Amino acid sequence: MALTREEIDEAYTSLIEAAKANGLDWVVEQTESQIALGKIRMGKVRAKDVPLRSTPEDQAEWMSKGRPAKFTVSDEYSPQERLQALIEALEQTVCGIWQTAEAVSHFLTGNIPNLSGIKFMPDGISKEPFALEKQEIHAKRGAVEHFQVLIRELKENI
Amino acid sequence: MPLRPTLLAEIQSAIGPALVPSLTAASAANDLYEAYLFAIIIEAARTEGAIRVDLRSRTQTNPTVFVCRTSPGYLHSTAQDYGYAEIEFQGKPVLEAHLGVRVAGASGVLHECDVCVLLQEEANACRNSATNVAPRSSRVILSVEAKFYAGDLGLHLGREFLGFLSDTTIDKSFFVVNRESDSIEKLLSHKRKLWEHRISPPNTTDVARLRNAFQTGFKDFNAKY
Repeated sequence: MALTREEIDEAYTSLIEAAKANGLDWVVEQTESQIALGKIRMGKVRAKDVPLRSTPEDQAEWMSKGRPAKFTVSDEYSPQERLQALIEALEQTVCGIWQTAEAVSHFLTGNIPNLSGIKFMPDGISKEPFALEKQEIHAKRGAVEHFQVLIRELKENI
Repeated sequence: MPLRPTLLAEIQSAIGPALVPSLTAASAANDLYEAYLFAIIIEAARTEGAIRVDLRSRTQTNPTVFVCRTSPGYLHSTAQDYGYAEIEFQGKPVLEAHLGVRVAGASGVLHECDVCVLLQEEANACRNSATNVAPRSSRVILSVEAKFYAGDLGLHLGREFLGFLSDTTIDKSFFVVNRESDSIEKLLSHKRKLWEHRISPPNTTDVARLRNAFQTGFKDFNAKY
């Protein structure tokens, strides 16, 4: 049985809260701007299908005789699709960042003998530097896998 | 199947432990992603038959700390001992791969390359110059605009990339994203530009396609020089 509308809304709100509580506001922001934009597709639309509120009725009738034209159409996300988009975004971020960090760490340690550190430093502007700690990344594997199992369980329920 | 009653609470408490605290900012994710694509370029060079690839910094070969640049800067910058790669193919001019350097377009305007591969003689000219000199885009053989996004990418990013391409003469410039992005893919395909999507470690097929595309860049370089 698919989730009810209430359950979908509850799950959506709960994930938003969790993301924000963990410094992932930007994930919420990007997902919500995606949802606000809608699902974009190309569609053939006749003029009569386009609501032209300011056009007098007789003129709208005349326009409908034209051939269908190609328009860029935006379809709204359903509550279910909205939740799916947020789940995808969180999975891609939480798991994706860790997988990328692991790949970078693996590449550099495998290519530089005696490498003791990987740092990310800005050049001349005030941006927070950070380091990639091999042990820390390695230690996160279990937690990332656990998160992935849970998020996939939610995905299967939608 | 009804939702397990504790599932949402479990997810809420599982997010924090799964995150590496220093990597939760959007900018950190992007910086990391650039380093990942840098690694794929190096692998592509090796696969294409590079006889030497050294990871180094301005002052050391095989530095004990590899420093990735996280904001656009000048190649000659000494603010940090930034890491880069030297790539050599048999009988060809030596190349260098860098992260986050500015290059000069045909108009003289400076553009940021998230990752780029350029001729070492151009890099040396910039490093040895008494003034702040940026490499010319005509001496860059490969560049990557890297985007790590959680949601769909805004179309403006595609338009910015087209603007970058219109002012630069880089042989192969790629727009690379960690996920799918319909609008940008449509735009760049329509304009016949190079792009790749779903580039992330578990997506081995997509990553292999990108690596092959980079390899083609090196193949063309070898044929040209």
